[in-house]
Amino acid sequence: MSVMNTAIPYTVEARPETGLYNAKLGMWLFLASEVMLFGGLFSAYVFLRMAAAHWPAGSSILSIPLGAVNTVVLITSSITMSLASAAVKERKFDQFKVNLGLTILLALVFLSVKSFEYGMKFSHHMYPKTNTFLAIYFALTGVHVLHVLGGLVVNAYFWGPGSRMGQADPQRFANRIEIAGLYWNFVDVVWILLFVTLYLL
Amino acid sequence: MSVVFLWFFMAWAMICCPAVRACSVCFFGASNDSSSAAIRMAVVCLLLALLAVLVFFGKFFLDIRKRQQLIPKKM
Repeated sequence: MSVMNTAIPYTVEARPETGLYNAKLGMWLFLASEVMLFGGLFSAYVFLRMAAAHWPAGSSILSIPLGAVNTVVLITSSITMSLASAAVKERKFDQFKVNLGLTILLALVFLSVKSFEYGMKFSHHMYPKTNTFLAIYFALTGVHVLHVLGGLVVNAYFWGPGSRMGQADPQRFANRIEIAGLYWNFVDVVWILLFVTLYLL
Repeated sequence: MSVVFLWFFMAWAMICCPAVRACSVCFFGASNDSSSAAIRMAVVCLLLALLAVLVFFGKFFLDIRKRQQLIPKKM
């Protein structure tokens, strides 16, 4: 047993009291704080929308096909992330690499589509200062893009240099991928909510 | 003395300034104003997010309690 495992117990196995290992508990707490963050932002959206005398339809400003493509891309990436997590639990590292690689690729596709969307808006002189709709659109999607970027960096680390742990301490590595997957699924769910509220409603 | 002055000032303000009596969340009594309705809906939205998190914590604590009963006591 390493010194680190002695100092911080339950890094690999679930605590008997909670049924969760430390990192998973930490991730759930983090996601609870994230729910509060996005809850506040969605409340701001509700306030701005209801207080406005005129609120434009999302489809009149935003591209629904591009938003739908991004939704499909993120849902697919959630599936590949889950497959990567399942593969690493079964010690199938080749499958893990392929699935996590696909997740990273899909995240890059999402960011490319989003930057294309932003570029289109800027080329038509539509900035956050233009109107309230665009202000809340850029705020909500901007915060979400930062979350996607964060997940992308973490996934890229586990796909690259971080994957060495898969050989040295496979159980702990599987736990790390599992909690990275939890985060990624959360980011996916937030995007679906954003797509419905901003693009469709 | 200053406390008495403060009470008199507050009484005077309550009588002379209707705005002081107005609810701070309904914009000086204009409860039908769109801003008031919007604030109420935003607060409801925020409360829903808070409720989701509190339900999560509540369920987690109940789960811990259930698990605690399953763990054999050492003493």
